[in-house]
Amino acid sequence: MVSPSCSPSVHWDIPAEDVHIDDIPFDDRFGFGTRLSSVSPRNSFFRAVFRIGGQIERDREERSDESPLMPFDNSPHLSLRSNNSQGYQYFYSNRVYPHRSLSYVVRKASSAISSISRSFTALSPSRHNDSGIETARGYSDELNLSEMFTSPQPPSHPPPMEAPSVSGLHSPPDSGCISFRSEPVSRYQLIMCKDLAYECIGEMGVEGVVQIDDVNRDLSLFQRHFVREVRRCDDLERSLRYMERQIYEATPPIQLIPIDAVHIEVPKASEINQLETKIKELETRIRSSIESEERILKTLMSMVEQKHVILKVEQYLSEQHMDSQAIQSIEEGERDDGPLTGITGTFSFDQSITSHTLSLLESEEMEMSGMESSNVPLWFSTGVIPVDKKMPFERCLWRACRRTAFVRITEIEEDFVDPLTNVTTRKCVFIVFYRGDSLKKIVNNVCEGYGASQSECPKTSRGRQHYLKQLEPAIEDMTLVVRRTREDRHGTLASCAEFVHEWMKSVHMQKGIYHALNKCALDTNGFLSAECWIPTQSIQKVRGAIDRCGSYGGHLPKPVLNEIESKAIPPTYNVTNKYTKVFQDIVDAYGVANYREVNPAPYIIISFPFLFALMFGDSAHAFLLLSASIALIAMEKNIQKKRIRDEIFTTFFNGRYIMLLMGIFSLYTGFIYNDVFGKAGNVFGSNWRDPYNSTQYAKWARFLMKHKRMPVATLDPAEAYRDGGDGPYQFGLDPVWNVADNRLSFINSMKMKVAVIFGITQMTFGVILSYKNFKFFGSRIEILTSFIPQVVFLSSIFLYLCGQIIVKWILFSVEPGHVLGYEYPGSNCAPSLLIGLINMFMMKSRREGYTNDNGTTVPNCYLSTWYPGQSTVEMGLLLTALLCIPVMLLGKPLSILMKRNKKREPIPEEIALSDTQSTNGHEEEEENFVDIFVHSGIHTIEFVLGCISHTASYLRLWALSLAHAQLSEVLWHMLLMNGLNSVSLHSSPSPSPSSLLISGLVAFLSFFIFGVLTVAILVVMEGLSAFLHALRLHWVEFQSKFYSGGGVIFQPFSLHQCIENGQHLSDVMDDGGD
Amino acid sequence: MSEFFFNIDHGYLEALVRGFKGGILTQADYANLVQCETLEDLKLHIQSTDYGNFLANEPGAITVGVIDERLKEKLVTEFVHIRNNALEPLATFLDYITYSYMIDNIILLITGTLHQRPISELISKCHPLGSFEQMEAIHIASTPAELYNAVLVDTPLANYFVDCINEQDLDEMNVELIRNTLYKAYLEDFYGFCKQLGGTTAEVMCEILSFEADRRSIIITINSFDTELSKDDREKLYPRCGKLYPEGLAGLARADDYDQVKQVCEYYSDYKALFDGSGNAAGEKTLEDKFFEHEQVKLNVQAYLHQFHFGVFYAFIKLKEQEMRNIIWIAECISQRHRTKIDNYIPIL
Repeated sequence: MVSPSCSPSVHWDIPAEDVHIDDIPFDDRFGFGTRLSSVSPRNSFFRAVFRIGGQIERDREERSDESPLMPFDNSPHLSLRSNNSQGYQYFYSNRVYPHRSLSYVVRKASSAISSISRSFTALSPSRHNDSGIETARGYSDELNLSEMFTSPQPPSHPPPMEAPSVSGLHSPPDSGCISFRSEPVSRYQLIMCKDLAYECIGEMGVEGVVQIDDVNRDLSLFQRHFVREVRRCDDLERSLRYMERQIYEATPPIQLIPIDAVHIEVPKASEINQLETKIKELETRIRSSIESEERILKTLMSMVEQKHVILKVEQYLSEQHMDSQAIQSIEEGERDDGPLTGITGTFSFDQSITSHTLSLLESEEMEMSGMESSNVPLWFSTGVIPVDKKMPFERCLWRACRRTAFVRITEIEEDFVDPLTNVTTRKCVFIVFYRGDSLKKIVNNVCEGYGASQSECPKTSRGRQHYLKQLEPAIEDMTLVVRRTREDRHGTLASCAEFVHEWMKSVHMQKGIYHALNKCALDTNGFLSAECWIPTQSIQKVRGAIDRCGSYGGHLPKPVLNEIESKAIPPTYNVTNKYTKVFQDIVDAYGVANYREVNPAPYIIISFPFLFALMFGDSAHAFLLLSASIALIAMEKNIQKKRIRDEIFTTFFNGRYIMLLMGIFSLYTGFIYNDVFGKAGNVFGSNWRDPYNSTQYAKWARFLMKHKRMPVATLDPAEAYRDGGDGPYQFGLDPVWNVADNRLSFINSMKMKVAVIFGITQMTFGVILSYKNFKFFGSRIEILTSFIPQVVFLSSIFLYLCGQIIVKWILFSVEPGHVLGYEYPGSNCAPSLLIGLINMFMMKSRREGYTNDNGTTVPNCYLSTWYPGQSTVEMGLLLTALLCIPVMLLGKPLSILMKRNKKREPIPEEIALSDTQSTNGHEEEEENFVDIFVHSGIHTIEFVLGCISHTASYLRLWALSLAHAQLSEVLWHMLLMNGLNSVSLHSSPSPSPSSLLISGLVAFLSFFIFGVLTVAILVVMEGLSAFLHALRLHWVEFQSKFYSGGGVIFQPFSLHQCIENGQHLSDVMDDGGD
Repeated sequence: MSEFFFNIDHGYLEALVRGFKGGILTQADYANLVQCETLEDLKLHIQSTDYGNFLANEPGAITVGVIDERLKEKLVTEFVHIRNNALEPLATFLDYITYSYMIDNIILLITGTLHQRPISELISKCHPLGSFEQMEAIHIASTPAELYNAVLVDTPLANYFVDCINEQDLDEMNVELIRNTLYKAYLEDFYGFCKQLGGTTAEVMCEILSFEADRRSIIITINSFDTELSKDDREKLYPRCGKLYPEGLAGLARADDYDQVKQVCEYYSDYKALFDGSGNAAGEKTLEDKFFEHEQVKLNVQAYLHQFHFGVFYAFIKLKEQEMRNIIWIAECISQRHRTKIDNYIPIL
């Protein structure tokens, strides 16, 4: 079947009857599967044979002569192995591929093989070099191949095995996108036979819809039943982390296959045993390899140190122009008793020696020579010490030897790597001259204390040369040994790199299952019972899972699921999908809804981006925001695959859909506000025109000459506004306001009113949602005493105000006429709503209409009432609102009190029990009543004051929008326009190159700064601030009307979550790298 | 005034150390630890406390030695972080804390050298908080003068050592004397430093340090009975910064037996209470335990009741040390299957 050919070719050989369905463990998922196998000769040319089925027997044969260290059975990854025995390499896989994706597999494999052949031609020289190291080579080939196969594929053909990863965010697999109320959840008791419990809980974990409650809360962790298994998993995780770290730190880098968190299957309970043996074996192998390498490295290091010592000593002694007598006396130091005192004097020290050492040494030497007999031999010790210990070492020797030792230290240029900690250190060679046995002892002690390694150094120059000659080949040998050990280990690591994460996934899942099992109660009959919460809509799935694991058990009794009554409050479970999740998260961040409470999230999907957009109304900035979010969404899958853990990026990435909506909405409001970078666009043509003629212009010109300032022209709408029958400006704000002096007072008035209208609308909506809550929980009393007065209160003051705003917009214009029964003299008499509202509260008497009896306009006519009977109506509304307050305040407590009284009435007549008992009971009720009363008081005050302060709070919609518009205008005018204007000033009809350069530079710079500031301040920071304010408006102003948010979130046991929570070195490393 | 500006320099570290203190094991944790059957259980339980995964990457079976090492490592990491971020005068204050460990290390090394133990073995036993670079060269000295001249002259302990130089030879007795003289000088110096810092720091620390000084005086006196230590020499070892100074110390100097010591302490209400409840009988706590309980637990925990002072750092180290002693005690009891005394730890919170 192997025939060398010059190019990769693919042969098909599909005997349909050969398909062994029984042998393929994945068949129920994929229909029937195909095995891929390619056999390649050892030379640079490759030939691939693909076979479907019928391969399994041969695979097994080939596996039998594999090294026992590579047990790859049942691993669903593409696995590549080598077999060197016949000079061929076999690469095959027991991965099962879906039948329909075969063409893809073929395409992928052929491209991979062609790249392999390329890379092998490139690799071949290096491989022939180290042919002595058999094991290492095989593994390194494998490594390269596996890299080929995991190399990124063109996006048009997503690999079939990764296709399910589309389900991106891993929302629970339930149908539905968002819940208006949290899903009904009920309490179940799951009783399982102990032998089947593992599979059963595992299947639950696959479904991920069951929250298992801990019934062993009073037992500490180590007293539970499955603590032994958890501990085994812990230990395996530790081993795997160790291996992962080794792989991570290996050079050349080894590609780790990222963990596959998409395919989740329950690992078999027995799998842990296989894994344990496999992993333990690999770990001991790696560890022993590292240990032996450390040992060798230590020897090697001491040898290298010795080499340096000898080199340095030799160099030092030859450089110092000592007289031959001195040299000789050193060389013969041990037995010689010649005159030695002169030696030190003859050293010509270089500058690196501290001068005081020199002088002291000299003086001491002189002293000593005077005092002692000169027949004490002069010795020297040599060795190596880390650079950072150099100074204290020198000082200590100096002190300890009473200034009679002479130390000379030079640095070694080479870096030393500590074999244990992998830390690079620099070291230096020291040589100590001293005299006498006692000093030798001291020097030895000091060396030992400072961790200096002493090394023997021959006394004579010849001896040193000789020693050096011996050392060098030994060092080379050692280096070779180290390299081989490393290569060998690298091979081992590379081969397990493919499986480490696979194993880790399995261990994480098993650990999760055992943790869940530890939450179950074990009874004496060998049955486990778990108390769990299951959403009603998922119960079918759970039953399906139970049936599945019942079938595993064979004769064992099936697990039983019983619904049980429970007084515990069920957890809140809101269905989400990847789109609605972010909105649900915003709500949950404030507080998880009570069980079955109205969930504000569906409403927030629209209102949140809308309120944001009111504050962020600039279409250019909105466009930037929109494009960023679209980019994030477009690259969604790639980004998710990368599993980026950077906190800031993840925050933005998770909010991509809300950003999209915010962008779209802001684009809209930007057009409404007619703001693009703070400027207005005149798309449809303004409806205002210039009503002035040439005489007026001449007058202005004279004014300008005289006063040196621009005159102000007022556009009288009567003349300048051109109502051509097609209504106002077609879309949004008329661009003329952009150049008007009174632009701000116009826009502010408009935005303020819009803010109040939308704010009050949202608050009213919140109150209406509270009705839905009361109705759902069947609380009639709350509807009567809370909802109705609240609505009445809100509408009699605030909705009335909104109505006034709208009516004023519609009815009052610049033209005089009859408005609501009064003679309306013109825009100066348009009613002031703000003062009107204050007057309403103060119940001040006001003049009716804008004109006197004789037809003249009254002063301050804008303060008058503007429709007949306004004072009466407002008085009525105010009284209604005030009447609502006692209803809200007292209604609920009183009704509760009445109910209680009704219940209690018969008691004192019939049974007169002991006094203490009855008074006790009474006190308790009183206390409760006081509580209720205080609560209702707080709620009332909160609501009444809240209506006012919240309405004012919604003005932030206007304030932020104003700030945004002003800031962008400042940026445009002060920065961009100034920069560009300076360009035009510089450019004369024939610009010199230098002025062109300068003006170009200025334009570039000003645009650069404009761009940076626009993105950084206007889009990012203003965006964040608008987001924050929208958040506040929803949490405080909107949700306070109906949302209590005191629930507990539903936390299903899910194997996927177990994998996600697992500790991974690569994640840790990435974090550390930042 | 100082509290107004305290947070500018030391606010972060104080917050940090208060956070660390929040992680100290509670009575409930100890109750769980005591129930452990094996060290593996201990490890499993300790993982659920503030210690987290500090033992997670240990291969093979766990021993008490490993636990001890890791505990120390964790404390040192925390301390070093604090020390690296400290500004003056907190930095000096933290250095002062390490001096006591340095004294212990020196004494350990000298005693070890006297018994001819290899230096590497001794070094590994030293407390990492008190390590200094000259430490390993200590064994070259054979007399205190040598020790001072060759090794300690560069260390911050040099000032404390001046009083010991006149000793003749390093023997067991002299080493004890050196230790106590060093401690005396150290405590007095530290006391003076805290006093000079003033404010709440002085208030809290002087209380703790004076108790420590008195504790040492009392223990020295009790231990000196039936030894060749003369009363004069003994008096020289008393740290003179406690509440016992001067009258109480004079009384202690004259004392000849335990009852006389007790009599002297009768006059001090704090110590009277400690003497009253102590005894060597079973079920009673020894005087030392009482002292520890009072000092480590009561005084140090009380330090956290004040705000804006350095005492919390000292208290944190001491409390953590006590906690480590407790864990090691429990671990030893578990590993030696000696469960009767397992409850003799001193709970902190």
